[in-house]
Amino acid sequence: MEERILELLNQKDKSKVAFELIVSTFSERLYWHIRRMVNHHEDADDVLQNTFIKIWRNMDSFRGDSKLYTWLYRIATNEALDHIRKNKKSQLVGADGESVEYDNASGDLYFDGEMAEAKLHSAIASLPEKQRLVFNLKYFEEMKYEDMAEVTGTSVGALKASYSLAVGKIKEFVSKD
Amino acid sequence: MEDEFLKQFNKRKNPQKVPEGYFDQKKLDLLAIADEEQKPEPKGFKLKATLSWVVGIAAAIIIGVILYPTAPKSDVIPITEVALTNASIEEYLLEEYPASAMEEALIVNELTEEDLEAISFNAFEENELEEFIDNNFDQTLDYEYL
Repeated sequence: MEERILELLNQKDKSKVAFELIVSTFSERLYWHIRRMVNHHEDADDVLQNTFIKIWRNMDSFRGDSKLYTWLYRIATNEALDHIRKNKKSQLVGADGESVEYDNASGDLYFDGEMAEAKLHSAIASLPEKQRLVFNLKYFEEMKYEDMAEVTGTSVGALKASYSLAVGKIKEFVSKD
Repeated sequence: MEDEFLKQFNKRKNPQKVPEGYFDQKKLDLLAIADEEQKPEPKGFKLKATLSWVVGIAAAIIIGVILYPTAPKSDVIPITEVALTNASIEEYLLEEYPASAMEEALIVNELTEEDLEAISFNAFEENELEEFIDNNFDQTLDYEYL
């Protein structure tokens, strides 16, 4: 599918068709990537929309230097991080300066707090945003470190370290209860 | 080690939910946004077309002015541009008052050969010519010069 989209992107009059394919192929995946970052559905909805507006406006500038999907994830990630930073004031901040916005059950209508996996999500939500991003890309998206490096602009070594730290914090969070 | 810990969770079981039909509607919304983003383009194109027309007309006017830079010349020649010589004055009088020349020709025609032989035009003084005319022509008559 990515090859087909790239073919269409190379034809200027086919950009609308290419965009339609990108929307149908990636919108759901990008939504969940964003949702895991911002937690709430309404926020994820806004960020997803902004992401696709940016994708649409910048499609002509995509030269195929990176993989299409890493380019899409990079835009979505930047939009999500931008949204988190803008809304920092409304978030609770822990003593160590790290975001502790993990009370999903009370904050989001679309969260099933009764599931066992809810605890994992709360633990992930407690991570600093960079570790949260790395953990989500590795664990949920099953992305290779090389591709993660393209998305985040971070070295593979630093990403591995971040992932290891994230898992350690999640384990600690889960074992508390 | 890390993966072993995480295996207790089923990553496919997602506690986060979305409203029913959200993704189908969102896809339509996103495509509609792309359509909206395209709409200003024809407006810009229309403006460009209008501008190109205006520029074209302006260019045609400028070229016209350059190719035909002079206004129609006035019939009145400034007096400073005319060389006031005897020859130019004579030419002007002959053009503007041809009857005077005709009058002189009629006078000559009235003279007999004897008269012509007897007189020398060069010797005529102005007063003598006037006297001759007064004596030989009826000044009350209108002469036709045709």
